[in-house]
Amino acid sequence: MHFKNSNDRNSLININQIKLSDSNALKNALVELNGTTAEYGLFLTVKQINRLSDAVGKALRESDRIEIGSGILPVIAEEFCTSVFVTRENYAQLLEDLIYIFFQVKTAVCDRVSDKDLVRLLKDYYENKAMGSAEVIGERDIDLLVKYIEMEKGILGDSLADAYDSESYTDERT
Amino acid sequence: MPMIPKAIPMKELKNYYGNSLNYDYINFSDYFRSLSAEGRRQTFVTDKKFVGIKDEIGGILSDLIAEYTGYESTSVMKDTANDIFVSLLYCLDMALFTFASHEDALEYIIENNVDEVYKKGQKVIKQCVFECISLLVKAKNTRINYPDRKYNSIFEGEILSYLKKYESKYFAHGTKRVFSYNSVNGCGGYRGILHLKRYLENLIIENSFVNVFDENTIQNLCYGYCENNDREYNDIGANIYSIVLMNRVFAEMAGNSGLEVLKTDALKLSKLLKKVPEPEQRRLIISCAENVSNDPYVNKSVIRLAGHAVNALNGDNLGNIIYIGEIK
Repeated sequence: MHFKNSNDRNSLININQIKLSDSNALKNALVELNGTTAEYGLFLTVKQINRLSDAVGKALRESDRIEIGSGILPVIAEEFCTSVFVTRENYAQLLEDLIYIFFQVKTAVCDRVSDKDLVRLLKDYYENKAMGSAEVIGERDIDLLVKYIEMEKGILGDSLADAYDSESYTDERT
Repeated sequence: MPMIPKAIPMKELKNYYGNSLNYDYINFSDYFRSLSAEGRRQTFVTDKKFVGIKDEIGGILSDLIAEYTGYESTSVMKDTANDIFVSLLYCLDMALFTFASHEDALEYIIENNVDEVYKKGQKVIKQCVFECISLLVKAKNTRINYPDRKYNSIFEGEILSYLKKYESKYFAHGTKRVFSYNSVNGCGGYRGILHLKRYLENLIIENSFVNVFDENTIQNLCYGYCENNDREYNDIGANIYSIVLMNRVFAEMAGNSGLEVLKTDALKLSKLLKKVPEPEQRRLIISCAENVSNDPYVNKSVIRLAGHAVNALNGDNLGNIIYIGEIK
């Protein structure tokens, strides 16, 4: 096989061809987690696990992020399985909603909050502010959640300053 | 698929089609990727090895990303991941630059795993940082004794601060750093630490050229240039070496042995040169510079500066690029 086109960029190794996240590792981790969550009556079927794995890929693409290893979903599942608002019926859908929220918020706080803290604060907000509705967070409360996390982590000043700067910039331009 | 016997140097090998590496497809600013891709095209790198290279790069990149986040995040923004990826590639390039030929470099890729290439690249980068430190000392020792703010600021912290902040793991490629003071010749399109190395080498050559002349003469020439161009003494607004070099070239054209170009010389030269078309003017300047120095760097500088000189000459602004007048 000989490529005659010198500009064949596809022949160069690029980051999109490199496998960083491991969907098999994610699926295995979720299967393994079923053992722990079973004591709360929560269980993911193979079909649900496959669907969640696809959702992670989609959420990453939408939020312009790249994930490594088995990723954050097993951590989210482990944290949220103890919530009183989680039932066997809403468990899989909740994880799917949360993965989108997680990446959106992680980007909004400019990666200044660790995964562990972000998942903990997300659960706190979910239970105490959103009263167990991930839909409410995803559709209405993302900005509030971001402010809540920034305030809890003491980084609110930075984002207010950024907002102020961008407003001043807009004013100057107008 | 042809077998590659280790005992025979790769440069003597031909692939199944009788072809060897096509150098036109190999790009120094993207060396590892273009060389491995060309190696694959010519079937020296098997598909299996190529997939292995991608997997190994993925492994190193994952480790670097995890380390970058302090092991506190399992994801990063795509831009961040891309920066780390480019930095990794830069490091691989640095390892391969140590080989004398593309064939030797490709052989190294084939016979080693990417992790080894990466480790070698890290060592080469560290070595390059040390080289830059000694080049900085040398550049400082040859520093031109003239109080230009921008020129002196590069020695008084600017370069050192760049070296201190230089990030060889996650941002080794850097962006091309623009210092307050530019060397006349470019840095060959290099990035990261190689860019700094080339910059320092350029400065040393420029300093050495200027230091051949008497210190007071240089100072007076620069003061005169500032005065003529209505500039503060400490803000000459041009590369000192370029002024000295072009003064020497025009002095040579006027038949003077030093740096002095008097008003009468400038007028005479201007009148003569304007009689010929611009390309000829440029050629005359360049050929005259060959009498001034046979250093390739100096000759390259004159080629770069000749265009400006021709423009200045035809716009009656020769005083913008050289000092015209008596050097006290």
